[in-house]
Amino acid sequence: MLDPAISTFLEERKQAWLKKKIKSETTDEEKLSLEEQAAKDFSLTGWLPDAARRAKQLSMVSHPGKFSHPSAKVSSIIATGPRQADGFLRSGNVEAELDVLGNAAALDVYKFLSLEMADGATVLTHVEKATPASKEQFADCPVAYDEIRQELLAIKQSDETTISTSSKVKQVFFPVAEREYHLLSVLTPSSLMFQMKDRIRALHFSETTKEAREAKKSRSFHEAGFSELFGLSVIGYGGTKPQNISVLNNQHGGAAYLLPSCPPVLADRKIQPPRRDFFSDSLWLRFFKDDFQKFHDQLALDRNNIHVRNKRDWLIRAIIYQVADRLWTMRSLESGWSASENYVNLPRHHKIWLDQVYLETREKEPQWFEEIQKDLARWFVRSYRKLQPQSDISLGDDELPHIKKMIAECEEALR
Amino acid sequence: MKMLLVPRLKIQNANGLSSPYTIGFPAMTGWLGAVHALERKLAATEFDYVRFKSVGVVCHKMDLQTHRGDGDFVYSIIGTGNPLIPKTQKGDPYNAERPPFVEEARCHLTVSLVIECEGLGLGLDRFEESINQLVQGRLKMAGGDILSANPVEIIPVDDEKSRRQLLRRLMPGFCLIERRDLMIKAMQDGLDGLDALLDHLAVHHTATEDEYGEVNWESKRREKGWLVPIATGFHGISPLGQVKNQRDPETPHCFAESVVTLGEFIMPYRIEDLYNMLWCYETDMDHNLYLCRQKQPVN
Amino acid sequence: MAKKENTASVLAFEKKLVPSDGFMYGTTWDERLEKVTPLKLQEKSVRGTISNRLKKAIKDDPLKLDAEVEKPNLQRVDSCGLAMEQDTLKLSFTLKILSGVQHPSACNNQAFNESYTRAAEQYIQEEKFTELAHRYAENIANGRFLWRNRVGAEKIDVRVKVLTGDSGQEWVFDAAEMSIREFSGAAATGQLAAEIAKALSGEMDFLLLGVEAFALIGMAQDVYPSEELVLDKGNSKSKKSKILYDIDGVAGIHSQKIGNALRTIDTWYPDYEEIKIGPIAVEPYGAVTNLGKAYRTPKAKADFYTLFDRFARGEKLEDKNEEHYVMAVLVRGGVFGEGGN
Repeated sequence: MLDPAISTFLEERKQAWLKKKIKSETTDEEKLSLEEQAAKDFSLTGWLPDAARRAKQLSMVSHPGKFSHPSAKVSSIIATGPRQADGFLRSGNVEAELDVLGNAAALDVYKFLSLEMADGATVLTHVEKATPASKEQFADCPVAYDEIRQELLAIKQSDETTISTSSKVKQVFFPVAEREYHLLSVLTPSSLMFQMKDRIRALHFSETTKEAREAKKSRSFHEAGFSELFGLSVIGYGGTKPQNISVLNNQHGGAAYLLPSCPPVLADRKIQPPRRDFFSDSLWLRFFKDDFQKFHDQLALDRNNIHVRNKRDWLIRAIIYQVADRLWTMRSLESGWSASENYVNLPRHHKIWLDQVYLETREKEPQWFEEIQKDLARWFVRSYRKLQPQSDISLGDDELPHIKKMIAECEEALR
Repeated sequence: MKMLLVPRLKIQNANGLSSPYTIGFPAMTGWLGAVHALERKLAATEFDYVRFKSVGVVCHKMDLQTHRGDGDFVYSIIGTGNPLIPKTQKGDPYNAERPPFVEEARCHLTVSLVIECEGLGLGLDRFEESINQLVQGRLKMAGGDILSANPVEIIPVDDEKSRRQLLRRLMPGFCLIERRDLMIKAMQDGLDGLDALLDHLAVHHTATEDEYGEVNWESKRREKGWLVPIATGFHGISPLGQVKNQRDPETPHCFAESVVTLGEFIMPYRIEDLYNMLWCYETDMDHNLYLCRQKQPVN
Repeated sequence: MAKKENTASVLAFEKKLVPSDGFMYGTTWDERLEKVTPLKLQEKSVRGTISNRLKKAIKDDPLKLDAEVEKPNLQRVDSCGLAMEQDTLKLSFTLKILSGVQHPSACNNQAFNESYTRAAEQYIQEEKFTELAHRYAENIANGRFLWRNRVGAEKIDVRVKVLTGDSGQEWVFDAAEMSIREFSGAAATGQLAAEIAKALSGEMDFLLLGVEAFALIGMAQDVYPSEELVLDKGNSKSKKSKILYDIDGVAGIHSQKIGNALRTIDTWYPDYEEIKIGPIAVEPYGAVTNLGKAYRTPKAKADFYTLFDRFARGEKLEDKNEEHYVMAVLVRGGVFGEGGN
């Protein structure tokens, strides 16, 4: 029995061929003879030997050189690497189909080799391992299995005698010891790159995502929820001729996604300076909820050893640092903003602290900082009470000095 | 520890295509590469014995050259026109066309570098002067041109106070640190390299329904903090050897690909130990990895 | 010649003229040295005029033609102009000039490297970059880097300051008086040229210049920042049809564009006299993008690669001008490996 994937594949080719050949003016007689010929040519025994011979016109690669430059000529590479939880996105840590280069007219051979047989493995895998299943499939062929196999596997072999990189590929000297280097020709893993595109598209455009997105819009429940990535860029390869770069590139319309890797932007046009008080106007308690919860959990512990204390201090610092982050977004505003009459009610020490126009004043009149420290400590206690109303710990006389001490230690972040 | 502070370098048209998967802040290899080149240039001075052991990079400003049209889902790269080449056709012999090209992403940046120096003894003034000359001269950085730089300074860091003072000089800015720990954890939990990355970068929207049928949607990332994918080195994918068209025929060559992991941008005052922000080279030949690595990872 | 043995398949040069982006400001001619404000981009809608050829059916039917002409063909574009009370554009940039053109940044053939370096050193020794430096200096002084903003300006004043060292040298040039069609060898630019030559030939390591140009163009006139080349992958239909360049909210001219103007010194290409477009930018094939032409073709053996092949291997070129051209391309920088791989 022919594997269903193979028979479907051949049937599709046959129909496509017939559709091209049979015109409205084709006589019934001609039609019959075309159909006979098609049945022969697109049976496995008829199709495979010719296809196997054409396999060498293609080569499977993981890192095609033309992604570096459309006219770069680089040897075909199939990268392998062990799967390891080493924290890297690299070849070996992601399964992805290989890319293909070569004569577009032979692409059917590649499609055939990529077919998944009944057990889920591709025809290529079967042929590589010379499995009984593949031998059985090809049994009726007029050409010996081994010969067919050799020819098909040419798709993974390079016939080049010398390996070459290219002046158009980025070549990097990497130091490996004192004044000793390796030279690395850095290639593009097109298979991984397009695997990423496929996964992002699935994330954004799959049926489940569409449903979930609708559910969110109508505020109804959805079991799976959905995920999305923001700030993607698109990079094109090959311009109007993506087929010149590689098969995968052509299949993906000559465009791949790039993930954003940018630092945060402090200057936020939407940001409003505080009108009366930085702590109550500019800090959203919601952002501090988790940290105060964890802080409370530590306080509520009966134990009071060094680990508990360290963890508690770490949490206090985390909260102070978040306040500092907010401080610096204020400082990214155009200096002098606090002179506007909108801010007449903002205390002077807040203005000195937040508005960069006071850069020098901060050094000359140091007393503002004490005020800020006091305000921050008071905000800390107030926020804790608000976020943990049930708590019977009041952060009173015992804790306040410690919080003040921590604030003093974080001086550099707050100045 | 003697730290060399290179404050507020203005760099134009640096390489923003840090890997085939990422766009934005230049790859770590670009920064370490530039500092290594600087060390090599010292060979022509009296300070040929000084070695740069590790490097911290703080970004004060970045302007990536991309554009997004109203209503577009994605950004597009802003290119630079390549010069034309003659057209091989009949007619006007001077007709020309644009040759095929690859898209290159560029960014303008202001960064400060913090460089750990070894071997520095006397003559600090002259050393600083030499570095100033080299930085403002022919040195390139992450593929970009250095337009200007503030004078460099040697800052000894031997206690809490001097460390904090150095960090304060880096404000406001964002310091790039490695968060490979998060990737490793996700991969140990069974995700492959790609999902481990995407899972941390995506915003996850999940719905909960309480006992009264009230539905609440929440949107958040896996982890707090400004996590980004970063290129930290290369993975060799062919045996070492000699091939045609090498840039230098004497150096052992191999083909390679970028490796990408997670990084985090944090404000310098969060740095508790300078080694948390300093990067150095490391090669792991058993796994063909050529890496830039944090001297002391945060976790 | 046994070419195989000294062929560099990898060969690259860093640029030696490194301009920054140009920043644009508005001011008044009288107060141009005291008070300037950064120019910002503005977005506006313009009604496009119908300029495409209309279908016959429309053309011949006055009603349809009317309707077609009335159709709102609104386009959104960026624009930039002086404020109502301003009459002068200020453009400022810095220019770094580096030595070391005799050393490729990458070269994978020792023999080639040696013969090239010898040839380049000989050129430097004989010429000291005098001719090139003088042309670069004139292109600074004549304000060519203003591009379209130069057209029709009543007065143009270019101020150049040496930012390296303590010399504090400074020059002021009357750019409107200078031609951009030819190089005069004017004495006025002699000192500036000498400094540039010193940097290029390695007498000093590098030179940093600050350049400020002021163009009196009239009250509230439009100015022309660089246009962005967006490699558009989006699919939204409401696109802006013109996107201009700004840096941190200040309208700007791309550094590449300034570099192109500064190296517009090639008057040595074959049909210079006949073509009558004046100097062209130094490019490997003499390409002039906006004309879609390349004036140094391999067929005429006037392109960089043909000349450089011979120059770098120690052959004497026909005349000094060809050597000037070759060296100017190397100052421009680029990737020039042989063998097309």
